[in-house]
Amino acid sequence: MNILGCAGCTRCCPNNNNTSKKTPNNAKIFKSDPNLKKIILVGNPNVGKSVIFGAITGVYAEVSNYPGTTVSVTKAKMDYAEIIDTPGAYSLGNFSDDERVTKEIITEADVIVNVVSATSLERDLFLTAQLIDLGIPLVLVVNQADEAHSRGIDIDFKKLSEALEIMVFPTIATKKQGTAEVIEFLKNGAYNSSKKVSPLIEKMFKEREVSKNERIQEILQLECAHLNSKECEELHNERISFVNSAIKKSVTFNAPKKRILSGLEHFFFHPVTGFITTVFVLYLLFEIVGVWISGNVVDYIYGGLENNFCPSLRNFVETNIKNGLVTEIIAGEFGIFTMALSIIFGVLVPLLTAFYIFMSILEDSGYLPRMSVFCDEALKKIGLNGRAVIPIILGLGCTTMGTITTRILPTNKERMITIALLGIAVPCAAQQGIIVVLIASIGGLKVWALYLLILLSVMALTGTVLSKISKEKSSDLFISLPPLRVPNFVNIVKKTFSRMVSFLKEATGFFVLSSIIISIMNYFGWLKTIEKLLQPIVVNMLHLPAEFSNVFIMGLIRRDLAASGLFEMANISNMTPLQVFVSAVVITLFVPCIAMLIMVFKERGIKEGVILWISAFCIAIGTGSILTRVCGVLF
Amino acid sequence: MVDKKFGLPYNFIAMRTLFDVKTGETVKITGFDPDTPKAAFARFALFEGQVIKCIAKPGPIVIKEKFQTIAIGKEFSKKIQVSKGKIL
Repeated sequence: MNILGCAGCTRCCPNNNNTSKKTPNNAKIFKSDPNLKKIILVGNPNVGKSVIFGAITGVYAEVSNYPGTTVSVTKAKMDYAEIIDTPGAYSLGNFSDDERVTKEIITEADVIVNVVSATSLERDLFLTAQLIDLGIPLVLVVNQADEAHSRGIDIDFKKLSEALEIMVFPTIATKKQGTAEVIEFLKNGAYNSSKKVSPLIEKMFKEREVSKNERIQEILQLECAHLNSKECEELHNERISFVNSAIKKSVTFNAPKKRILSGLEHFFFHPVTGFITTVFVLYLLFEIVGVWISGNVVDYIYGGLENNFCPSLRNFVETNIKNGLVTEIIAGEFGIFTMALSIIFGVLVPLLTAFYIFMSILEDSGYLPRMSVFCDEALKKIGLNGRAVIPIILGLGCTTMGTITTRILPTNKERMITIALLGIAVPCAAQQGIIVVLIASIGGLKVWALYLLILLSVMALTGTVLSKISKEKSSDLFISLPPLRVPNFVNIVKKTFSRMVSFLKEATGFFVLSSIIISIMNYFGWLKTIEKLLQPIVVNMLHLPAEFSNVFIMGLIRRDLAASGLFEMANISNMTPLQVFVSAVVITLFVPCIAMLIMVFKERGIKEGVILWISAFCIAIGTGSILTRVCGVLF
Repeated sequence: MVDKKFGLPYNFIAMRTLFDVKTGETVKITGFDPDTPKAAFARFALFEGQVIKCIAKPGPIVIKEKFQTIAIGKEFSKKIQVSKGKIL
């Protein structure tokens, strides 16, 4: 038999234009510990693989209600095996990077735990059929059994196990039901591979002796064989009838229970109500973060630190340490305690906690994929499709995370445009929290709406230009929508806590180090020299106070640090509302932070990273210069 | 490419696609664009004979089959051929 292997060409895989076939760096982890058995969790997106992974290993992997939460490989070492969680894949084809990564990892598996959702069994078993053909020992975990039952889908797991000839475990992973049995079974190691291999695959290897690896490689190549070849068509039909017969034997459909949330489905998709919902979500974000948290919690904590703690510390340091430089570093204008730690614990921790809780609720409710559908038409105009909403929304949490999540986008063009939008016009959570507070203090909702309008215009312009430059064709939306759910309180708390811990781990060092550097520069008078050098841009072009150049220096390191610098500056100097507004826009559009830039270098290469950095700088200064001249009448 | 049923080139046969389906209508999938691998549809449990209902058209076409809800972009929806008239 002639097997036509390919590496993800555009002909057989219409949505794949990434001919470079890049393997993500995380694939390297498989080199570790060859003596341990490798148990790999494989399944469609959003079926609960990460919850199962957490239940088996005790390691927390982020869990959300949208496809594409896991974009990289997570692993945990147990005494009996190495457990590996993979990004969701709908099939073993070459339709997305996730599928390519999963395909590559599978070749290393000793056992595959195929996690499927009871609510989308028909779709998920297509991948199961592909996995059975590989001949690797397989265990099926049917998750979300409770949700399927409430939708009138009843599964006879014994019959399903007989039909597939593998062990089947029903679970409700979020309630930890059924996971103990899975762990026990994996520990005992009595797994088997199914004999229900497709007749075509059986025929392929009947007269030939091949090693396990050769067999897997040949089948994986066939999965991407050229375009509806006779073999592919036959294999495809065999699998569909296999899945249909398994469903017929084991599933019964009853009348679903009435769910209030299902009624909201139409509400989110309607042009008018969908738009109102999006505006309402943004309004809530402003009210909660900008007005409620800022007006009460931040004012109380930061005010306390600024008015009581910082002056006492400065007095104490000046009296006891008679060294000007040390005093400057510890308790000066840009000191470790008086700026870095006060901002982190007085401003960022309360704002970010509120922001992350808000985002977790949105993520877990299943609203994000619906927003993707609603925004699809608008995003098409800038060379993207609705799926780009997910990395952009995640970028509102952390632009570096958003950049990694662009891996879920199928084409090179879409990844390039989305990363550019993230680097230029999407503020990260910490930066956004402070900007919302500043904007609330100078004019409330009207100014917030104007700020959003400017960001959207910059996004539209950037996207349109990049879309015209790139000749590649954008892909079309094709996503499975997860059910709408009431967010799980425990998961929201866990997710917020885990995000806060990783923010503090990452940001504290940067803040302290920057505070030391800037304090030294201030002590020796170098900041004044830089102020003079940047005067043509800061004073002449942007009409801002000369000290704003300090914010620029902070912005080169981290965007949230720049926002913090602006927050301090707006508090102590007499900036006009227009100046605060222009500064807020300039630091939002300013260059990507170091962490994001490194990620852009990794994902897109150094050339694109440098172009992005220069473009962001020019766009920020250009927009600021226009606003400072045009918006005077509004303030 | 020639259609097996009619023995005519695909371009000569006016086919109804998912793009033409109205909101609320239930139809059966009868075929796919021959230039796209069937696996691209099967991975979302879309295959010939599958009964689907169009539940909304906010730009993309949102369909429901017995297990799940799927959103399909306009261009992709033109690659899915469906039966004429109501099935259920």
